[in-house]
Amino acid sequence: MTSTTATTPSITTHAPSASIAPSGAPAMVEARSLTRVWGKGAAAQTAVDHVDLSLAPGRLVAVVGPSGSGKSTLGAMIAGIDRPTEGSIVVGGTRIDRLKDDQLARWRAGNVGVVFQNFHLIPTLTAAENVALGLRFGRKLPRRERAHLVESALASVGLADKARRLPSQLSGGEQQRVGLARAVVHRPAVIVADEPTGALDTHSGRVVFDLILRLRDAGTTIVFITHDPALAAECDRTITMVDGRIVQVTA
Amino acid sequence: MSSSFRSTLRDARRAPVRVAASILAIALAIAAIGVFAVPGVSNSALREIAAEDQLTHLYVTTSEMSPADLAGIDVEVPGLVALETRTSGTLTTVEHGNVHVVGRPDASTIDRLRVTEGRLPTTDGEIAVTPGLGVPGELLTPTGAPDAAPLEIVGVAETTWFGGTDTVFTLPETAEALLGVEGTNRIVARLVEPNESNLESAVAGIRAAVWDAGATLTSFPEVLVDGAHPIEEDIEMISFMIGGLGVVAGIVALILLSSTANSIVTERTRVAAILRAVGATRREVRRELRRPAIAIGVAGTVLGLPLGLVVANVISRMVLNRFAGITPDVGIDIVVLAASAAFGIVGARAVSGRTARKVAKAELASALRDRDALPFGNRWSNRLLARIPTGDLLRRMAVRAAARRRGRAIALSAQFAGAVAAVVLVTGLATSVFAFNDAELASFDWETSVTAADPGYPFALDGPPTSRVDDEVGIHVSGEVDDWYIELFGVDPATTMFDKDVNAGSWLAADQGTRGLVLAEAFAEQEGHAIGDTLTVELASGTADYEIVGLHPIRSVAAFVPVQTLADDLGTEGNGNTIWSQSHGVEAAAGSGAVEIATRDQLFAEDTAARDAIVAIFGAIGLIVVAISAIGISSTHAMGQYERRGETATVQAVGAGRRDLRELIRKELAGLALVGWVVGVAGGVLGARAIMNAFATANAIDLGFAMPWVAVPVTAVAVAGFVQLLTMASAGRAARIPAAVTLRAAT
Repeated sequence: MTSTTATTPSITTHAPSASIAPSGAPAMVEARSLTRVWGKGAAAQTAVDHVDLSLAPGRLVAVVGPSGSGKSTLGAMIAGIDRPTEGSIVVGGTRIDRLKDDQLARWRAGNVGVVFQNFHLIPTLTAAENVALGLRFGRKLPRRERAHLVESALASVGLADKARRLPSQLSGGEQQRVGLARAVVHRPAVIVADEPTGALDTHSGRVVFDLILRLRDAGTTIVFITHDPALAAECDRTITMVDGRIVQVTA
Repeated sequence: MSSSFRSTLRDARRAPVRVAASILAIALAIAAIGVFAVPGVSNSALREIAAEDQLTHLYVTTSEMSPADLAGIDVEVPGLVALETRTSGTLTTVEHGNVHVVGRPDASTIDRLRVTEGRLPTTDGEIAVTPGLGVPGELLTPTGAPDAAPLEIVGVAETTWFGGTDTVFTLPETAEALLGVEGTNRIVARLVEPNESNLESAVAGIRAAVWDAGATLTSFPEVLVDGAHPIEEDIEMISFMIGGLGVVAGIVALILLSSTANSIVTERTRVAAILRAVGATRREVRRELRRPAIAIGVAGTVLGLPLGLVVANVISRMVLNRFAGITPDVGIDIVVLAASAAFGIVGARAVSGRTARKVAKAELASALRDRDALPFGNRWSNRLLARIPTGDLLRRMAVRAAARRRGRAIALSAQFAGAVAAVVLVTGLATSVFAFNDAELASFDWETSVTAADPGYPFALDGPPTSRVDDEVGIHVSGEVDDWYIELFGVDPATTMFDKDVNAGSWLAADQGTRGLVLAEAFAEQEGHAIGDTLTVELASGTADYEIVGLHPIRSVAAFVPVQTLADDLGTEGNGNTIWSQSHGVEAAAGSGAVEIATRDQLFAEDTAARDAIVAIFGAIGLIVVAISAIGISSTHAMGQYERRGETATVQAVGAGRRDLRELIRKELAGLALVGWVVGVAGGVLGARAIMNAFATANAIDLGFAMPWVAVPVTAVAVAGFVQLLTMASAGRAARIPAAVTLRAAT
């Protein structure tokens, strides 16, 4: 593992640039001076502070850092579920910070998958229906094809036999696998997984991570936010954030 | 500062709109209960005026007699406080047409006159008038009276009994001269205890005394039981219906209170779990959960009580202004006030206590994990529902969300139902009253009716009183049957002025005997009278027996008897008191004294004015109910959306845009609204029917029920529009906030 940049926030005036894209190759994620401020006036808190980022396609990039360092906020902006206060972000060639709300929603439906630490499954929908939700808002597909994709996604996470279970009838690990199936069912180019193993036991966490590795092997770009150094070490690159800035990028 | 107050303040700062909406909702609910106070406030205002005026308890009209003939009557009529005579009649004037003249002794104590300008008459020829007839110094000129000299107005005065009628008050001598009456022709009396039995005895005693004096009663005596105001009976129907609407308002208010208190407690589920986790007992947790709900209940009550007072007084004022021409002082119904306060505070305590028990009982681990400890799938019914295809994904979410939060779904539907029921009820009552008013005139084939302005029978029965051939002389008087007031029409059996088609039996036939009577069918059914029965009717002159020969569709309490028979029973010496005509604008019978002319058009116009007033009053109450429901629905819906904001944000995260959110919200809300609409229409119709039936039974009339068809599409469109508005507002609000922000706050 080689350190490409190692700058502490205390001695830098600008956050370092994190480039993980080979020189000349088009980046899957390209952020410039990306900033997100929560609140206003005296209560304002900068979650992400002028971050420059460039991620190559088909890579599994871990984002690590202490709580409150801005990892999840950065992930949310890459996934298009949050908007930067300042700066620009291009994902898969689309400048998503300039999209209107509905355009951004449609973009999410076709281009990105999100996995959450707390699963965020709809409690009233079965596993298959939760996965099908990932297809509901994107490109219109024939019913049969939709059903096939849902089946495949569930099978890929090993839950084909639990398709009709409600979330309350599944274990935490199983719920997270459903969440992962929902994130991949529409074959997105980018997946943002926000501490997907954080709420799971070691074994379940390993199962989920192995699935993520398989996705990476299939060519999906994955932003993997984690607190687990062991899992981060298995990723292609690791970005370390402190106080909203990228302080280290390792490969 | 108490901890509950601090906690409520904290909540208010955190979610000011929601707390304000809850307080406003409870305040409106309390205000709605104020509707119950309308009859009480109205009646207490009327009774106050009646007591202040020393209103007569008994009023009889007699043929001319000398006041001296009544000396010693107090022996025959025990329990008398005072008995006075009046010389009264109708006078036609140049300035104001027909006016009522009342000659009363200077020292009169009954029907006290309240002087608003000038003074009361003290010498012959002076008059005081009711407001609107003139001011002191002006003159009033009689036409065609024996003494036609202009009368000088010396004062303006009024009293309850003559409220709303143009009346001239003067000394007895002046009245005698103006009206051409010798002596007196009215008796008024006040009793120590004016209950029904004492008043009956008093009437009997007075009738006997009048008879002994060689005179007769010329109209059915009027009595005011227990110091009632004469208008009370007239506003009874409207009070009755207002009470019915009050019940709807109360139910809606109850649902709103439950829903609001439930929401306030339920949203603190996680707080409760944290408190338990750090060692609080269930009892302490329950108390902590109840506090904000009770504080909001108290705040709502404090705001709602004055609002309720305003509602009760404004509606009472509308009723009394329209139906009695009275503007009452502000009234308070203590019972309703106390019930409202108890409803707000005790109700909030009871409802929040129930929910708090449930929340405090939830398993700690799942309560800490799940914000509202409401997993879906633990019940077999949830699992079954999850297997039933109820439409596309969004519809399935909507249906199952309603099943998951049954209480909230029921509250939403119930509030829709309450609003719709209120509109349907108001419309149903209005259309039924309209239909009744129309039907009431349907049995009359005359166009114009000329009635003697004063008691008495000035028109000869044996010949046309005017040059018109289509006129008919008859008798129209009041009587009493089985303790019910009844309208008696003395008509020629071959009359062309009334509908002679009967529902059973036959119409009055010339050869069927002179004591036949055709009775209103609805009244006969209620009182158990049948064809062939003998009906005993109490008339001004005493009792008379008739044989029921037919049952008539007329919807009021009324009966038809041969005019000659009725004339004999009343002792009119072959005269009648009414001329009916099928022409417009009958000629007044010359030399018959003052008359009152009514055309069908006028009656329709009066009915229409009364309808408008009723619709305005019902509409005001209906609007209150609808406003409460609308706030309740908005508040409950907002609470539901707030609780499910995590789910909404998740749906957004997987690609749902504003339009998709609208679809999701609409699908859930529209289903509940549809259920509420159906229940509301059915409930409104049943409620209106029940109120009309109860009122019809209480008054022995055939009120009937007219289905308010217009309310069906109107409420459907209004509900659909409201659902659309709420949907757009909710979806817009949700879409404006980035999903990540919502998810961050929701976890």
